[in-house]
Amino acid sequence: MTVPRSGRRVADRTPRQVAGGTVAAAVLVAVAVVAVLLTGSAAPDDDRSGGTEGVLVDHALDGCLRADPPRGTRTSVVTGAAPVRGLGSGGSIRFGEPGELAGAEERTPARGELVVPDPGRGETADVLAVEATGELAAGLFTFRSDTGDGTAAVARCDSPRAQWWFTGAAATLTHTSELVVANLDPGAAVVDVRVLGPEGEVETLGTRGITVPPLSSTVLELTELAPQGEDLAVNVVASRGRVVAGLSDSYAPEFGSEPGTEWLPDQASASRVVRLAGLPRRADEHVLVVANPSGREALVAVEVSGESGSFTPTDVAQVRVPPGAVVSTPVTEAVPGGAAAVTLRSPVPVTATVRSTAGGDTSYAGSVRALAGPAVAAVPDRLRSSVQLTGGEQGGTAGIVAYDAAGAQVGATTLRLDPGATNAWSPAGRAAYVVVEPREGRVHGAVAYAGDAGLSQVSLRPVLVRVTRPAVRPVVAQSAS
Amino acid sequence: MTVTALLVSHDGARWLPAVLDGLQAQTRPPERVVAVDTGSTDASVDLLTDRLGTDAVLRAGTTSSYGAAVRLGLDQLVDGPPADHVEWVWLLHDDSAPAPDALERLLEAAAQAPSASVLGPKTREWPSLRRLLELGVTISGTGRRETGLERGEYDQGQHDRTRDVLAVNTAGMLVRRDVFDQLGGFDPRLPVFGNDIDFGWRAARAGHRTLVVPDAVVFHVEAAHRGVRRTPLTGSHRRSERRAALYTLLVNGSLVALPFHLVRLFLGSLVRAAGLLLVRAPREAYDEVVALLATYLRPDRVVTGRLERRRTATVPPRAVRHLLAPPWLPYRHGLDFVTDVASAVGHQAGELSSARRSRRGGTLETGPVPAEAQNLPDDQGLIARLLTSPTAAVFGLLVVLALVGARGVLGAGQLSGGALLPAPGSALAWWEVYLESWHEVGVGSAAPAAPYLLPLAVAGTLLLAKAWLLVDLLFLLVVPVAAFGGYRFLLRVTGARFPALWGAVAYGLVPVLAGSVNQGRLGTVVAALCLPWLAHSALFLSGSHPTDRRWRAAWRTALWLALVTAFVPIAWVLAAALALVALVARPVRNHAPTAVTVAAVPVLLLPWTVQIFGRPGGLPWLAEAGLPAVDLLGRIGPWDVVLGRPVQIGAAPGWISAGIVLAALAALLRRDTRSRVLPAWTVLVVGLVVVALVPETVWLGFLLLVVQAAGICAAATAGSGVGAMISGTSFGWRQPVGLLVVAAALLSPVAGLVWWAMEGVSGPLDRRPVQTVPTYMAEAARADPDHGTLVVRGDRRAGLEYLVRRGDGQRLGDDTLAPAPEAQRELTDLVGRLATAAQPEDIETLSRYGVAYVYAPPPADVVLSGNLDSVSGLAPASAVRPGARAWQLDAEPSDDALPSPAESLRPWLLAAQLVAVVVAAVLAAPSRRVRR
Repeated sequence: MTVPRSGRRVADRTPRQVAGGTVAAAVLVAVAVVAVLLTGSAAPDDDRSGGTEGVLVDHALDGCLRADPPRGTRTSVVTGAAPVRGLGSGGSIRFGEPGELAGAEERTPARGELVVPDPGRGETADVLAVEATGELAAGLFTFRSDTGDGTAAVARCDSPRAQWWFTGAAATLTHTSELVVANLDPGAAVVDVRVLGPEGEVETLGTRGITVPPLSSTVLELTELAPQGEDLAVNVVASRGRVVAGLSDSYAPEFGSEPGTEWLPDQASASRVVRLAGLPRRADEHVLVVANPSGREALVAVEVSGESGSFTPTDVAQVRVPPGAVVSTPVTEAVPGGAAAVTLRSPVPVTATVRSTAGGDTSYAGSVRALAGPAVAAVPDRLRSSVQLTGGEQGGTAGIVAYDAAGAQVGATTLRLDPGATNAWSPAGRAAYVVVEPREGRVHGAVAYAGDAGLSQVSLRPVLVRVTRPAVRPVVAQSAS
Repeated sequence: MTVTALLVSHDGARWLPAVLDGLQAQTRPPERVVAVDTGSTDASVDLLTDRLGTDAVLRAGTTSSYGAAVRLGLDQLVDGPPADHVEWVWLLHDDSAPAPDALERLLEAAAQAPSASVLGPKTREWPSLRRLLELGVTISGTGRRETGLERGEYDQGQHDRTRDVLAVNTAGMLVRRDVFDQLGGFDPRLPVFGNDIDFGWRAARAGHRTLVVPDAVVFHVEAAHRGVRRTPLTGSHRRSERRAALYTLLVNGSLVALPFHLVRLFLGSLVRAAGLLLVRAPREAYDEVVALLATYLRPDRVVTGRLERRRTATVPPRAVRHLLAPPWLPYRHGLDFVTDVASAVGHQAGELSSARRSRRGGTLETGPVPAEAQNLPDDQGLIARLLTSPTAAVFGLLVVLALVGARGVLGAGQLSGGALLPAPGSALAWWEVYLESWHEVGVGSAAPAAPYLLPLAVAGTLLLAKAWLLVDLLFLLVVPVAAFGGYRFLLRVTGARFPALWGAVAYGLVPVLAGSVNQGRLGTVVAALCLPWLAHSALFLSGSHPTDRRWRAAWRTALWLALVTAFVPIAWVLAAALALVALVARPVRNHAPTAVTVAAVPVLLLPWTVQIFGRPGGLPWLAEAGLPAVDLLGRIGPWDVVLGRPVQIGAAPGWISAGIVLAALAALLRRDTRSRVLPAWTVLVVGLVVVALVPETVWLGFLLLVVQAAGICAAATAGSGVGAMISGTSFGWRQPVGLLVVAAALLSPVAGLVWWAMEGVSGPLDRRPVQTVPTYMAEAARADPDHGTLVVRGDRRAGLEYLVRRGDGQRLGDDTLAPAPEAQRELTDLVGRLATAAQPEDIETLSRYGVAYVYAPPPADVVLSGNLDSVSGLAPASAVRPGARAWQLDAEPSDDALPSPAESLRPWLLAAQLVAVVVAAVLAAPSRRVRR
């Protein structure tokens, strides 16, 4: 019955020792596995400052360019600070020729109230600079409109920047364009101008390293740069300084007829998805012009967003654009009547426009982006304005408020947009400008103008209230790599 | 002429029989023998009375000094011979045995030189009997007893010349009784030590000659001097000797030189005490200081002593100067000491390595070696060893491959790129940056320089201030040198050469180390070099070693850990975690050494520690030496952690270390080595846990290196004797599995070698010109520091980085001087405004920060460039490089907006660091055996 003690002791001890070591090894391996799997889950520790916080814009500068408008054209410039909840009317707005801006009279309009520069100033000055400081700089917008006999042109007066694209220019007998480059800054700017044509990039002389003296402008005739060029795209890149560029276009549907003038809408850069909005509700002809600045051929898929939804036109489902070339394709049949927009998708970045002709005037649908916040567009008198908004794939909703020149609200609506559908709203006659605010989904759009004088279009200008200051970090040393 | 031998004894029963035999065997015996015993507690009195008779033995109190005992003995001789009779007294100690003819030779010399009043024999060491102790003595200006002999010099008659000396030892001193009485005998203020020199000096000043007679030999134990005999009078013999020396110098020196002596001895004693502390002899240093204070706090004794000597002196002090040691002698001794220490260190290292070799070779000497064999060269030559040793062959191969691997980065320019900044022109710049409290970089910085600049400065200075050479050596030789360290460590741990060799090569070629070199990660590179030595010293922290060894290991480990922490701060966190785990897992009796190891590091890195503990957040702990170079870090996944591959850029392929991982896992399966493998695995797991806790936006190189090293250590430990184990057991699953693991493990270093030889240093580390801004800007800044350049890099999306560049631009070490971001808030905001909407007043503010140029290296941010182009007050300038932009400020730059230097505690903290490092180094040094 009794087991010898010594034998039992030996039998007990050995397995226990082994078990201890094995358990320890197993625990270590288990902890190691857990630690390996948890690697990277610790919160990153970053000491960069800034980056996301937006700072209130307290200085803004817009430049309105002057071309040679046909006689009898009436030019008007309107500027103001868009109504923004919580922002007052501190600061001031000045305008004048760039060199005389410092001594110009300071205007202190209320927020939302439009200021019209002295009649005539916009006509005589080569460039009209509009500068806002203080609170009024937040949400500053400036538009110009030229209305004359049978022609109408409305354009945004934008802030200076480094890169501009214009598509749809030409240098033929019936269709001519001139490029205006203005430098509103106190230092000289240097710009390179590239011209793309149907056969590829046009070899131009003297368009590289053009110096634009401080506070002045330069005009380049495309007939000199690319004679006989049809369907051109023009790229302006400031290698030094910032410029405001504009391309004034004069198009006569037939030889000998009175040409209609228009400011070509600009595009900041070539893009793989180009949304063209603001097509006139009725037109005789729509021509899609696509430029491919890349070195690869672009197969551009075309999608049209009509009032009932989006579709791919069967005859122009795809446009093939050789590298560096500009291709124009009639899309009159594809674009339905009423509010419409065109979306292009391409594997390589492209720039594009849709040229619409009605009567003797033309209009160019410019590239727009989905609205990230409130955007504004002018509603000149003498023209019927139609705010055309297109919904994204999920559809969307946007509120539109119309204001008169004194900043009083004169109309408002909410547009519900089905997926891919374009909808339009026309403000009341007293309206001087509209503010569009996206509420749901992705919304993009423009304002199309039509009247006795002609057609025009302008894309909505985002109301810039805050800018993201880049994350800035002091370092004591930087790598040499 | 009569001779009285006077023998003073105190607990000398060990030597007395031989002394009395020697006395009895004298060829010219003394007329009388008197013995005085000063309270012996052993059999001394009995021995004396047995041999000399009761009458001849006098007893004095235990506290009576040597001089008093001699005086007592002489007082017994009142019935001396008539006045014209010359009476000699022959003084003997109970530990000094005269040769049979000693007295005869002394008396012969006395007869030949009648003017000599004091004569002394040649004393030789007892019991060796061959080594010389003294042939007359003198004293140096610092109070050192000078014999003019080498330590342990054999007596071959090389000094046998009767000559005048300052003094002779009292053991065997033959002195004329009348002279002795005239001089008042020995000074009672010198109880035991130093009375011979003092007496001789006094005799010389009284116009007497002292001769040393080499033909007469006395064998002397020097029992009191060597501390063999302790009496209430000797106390601490070192202290008493030093005190006697100071007293002797002060009372016998000339009055004119007394102030000089006072100052010199005071300062000299303090220096000696400090030096003794440095060689870990705190007790001797204490004795030195106590002796100094005891002498200087009793000026009355000095005054009395001087008055007494003035009474007996007949010749001026300069008359005895030729008998004193030359003034340069102390400096010669100092030089000798330094040389001795250096050669001892070298010698010790040589002995250790040859001992290791003989252990490895199995040549255990078990018996007497034949004389012929002793004559053979016992060590092989370097060449022969290199050719025959596989270890030497492997490391030779590694060095060659290091040069092959570095082929891409040889040539002109400086190593830089990735996280590495170019080295400064001179290593002295590192000293400057490290020591100064206010740095003229950027907008000025009071940030304490990182601690790694100190070792860089020291090492760079040793390389003749060639900072670039140090950086080159570190980066280009890291593989063989790290492997060598790993080999030494693994040899210690495994005790087997081939596993150690495998582990060493695998360690040198782990992908993370290659990645560190390619990315210019100085911190990880230095840590890789130090890690094996750190681990080596930490081995001795375990409770199985003697306490003294553990303590020394603790300090040594603390120094290594401080060095690694200086380059890679997280090493300290890891070490603290490991110490905690070790204490919990393996409780030892005394935790103090381990705790001290971890706790000492913050003190050793002092000025920086104050900053790092005073700053919230973990960032300073995560930053390594060098730039963060975050853009070089890729996303790191679990496999990257397992395979030790912290980056995508520059690292070796991960599969190279797959064999190591496999072997480390398999190491856990072997039972007999598991107890030694588990500690390595614990290090591995703690390393992985720390990796998991660290955000992945920082460089993980060091932690993964530790993890890999621990894996290698585990594998090498289990790998020792694996061949025997596999072949020794019956066939089963172990054989094929074991063979597979071994094969995979062997493949790792081989694949690493091949990859490294093919790929080499591929960058971003590269050798390139240093200039990063246009030369004219650098020149302007060099001419006037206020003409700095604001360099803005990056783009708006990823964020902008800026710095204000002055002088030579950023060099290795400047990366540590980042002031707190809040200190630069204003300038940061200003740069933010420049990048968003620049206004003319911003440019004017910029000029007051001492900025004359703004430079945006390629690719310059378009918006920033546009902004700066558009603002007045800035004119475009030549940027030289395509894609870069540059502007010149119109306004004359000034330093109005720059902060001014503030008061800093840094000098005090640096002093504390110096003390801490010295103390740690002293305590880490091997214990010093006190030799006399």
